[in-house]
Amino acid sequence: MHRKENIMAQINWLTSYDDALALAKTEDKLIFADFFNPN
Amino acid sequence: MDAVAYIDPAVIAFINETFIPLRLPASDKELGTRYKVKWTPSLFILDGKGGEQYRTLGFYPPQHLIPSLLLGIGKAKFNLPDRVAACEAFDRVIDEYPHDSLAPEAVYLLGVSRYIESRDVTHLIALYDRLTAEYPESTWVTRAAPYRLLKK
Repeated sequence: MHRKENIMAQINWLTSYDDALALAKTEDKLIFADFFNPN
Repeated sequence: MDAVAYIDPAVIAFINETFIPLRLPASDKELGTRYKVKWTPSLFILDGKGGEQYRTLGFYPPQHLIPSLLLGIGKAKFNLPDRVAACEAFDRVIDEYPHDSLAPEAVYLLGVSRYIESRDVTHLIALYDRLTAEYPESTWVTRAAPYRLLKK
């Protein structure tokens, strides 16, 4: 629910790979993964 | 990406509505190694099993990020295989971003996808004709050149 409420404010990034896989299966979606440099 | 693309309202809406967005440090030892991440930013489209379906590199401005991701969706759907969804994604690149540098590739992939679904070579001829008419300077004209030989 939080993901939908926040749809226009910011990207609802997940930071857990396993959570992303689980949600992708539940919602039948692809994952957009950004490997970034935090420094 | 944070300063430009990821604050754009169209990009935010597109990513949130289309994907499960996942952000990981490239220094993540396990996942950085698994996906062979050598550059940042490295942008991936993964399927629900974690399989890599599309990869691109570098800092995208917002007007180029969405067509790039649409092209990636098309490739991912093609591989699943969901050729109808693949064609829809390629069509969106062409229709919504006709001047983007990726549009000629989308024309090529759309035509090949339609051919694979139907085995109708007119799709291959049509993609060559469209590329020569609309994107004559594109390298995709050269890649599609053999299809001109299919004309009777």
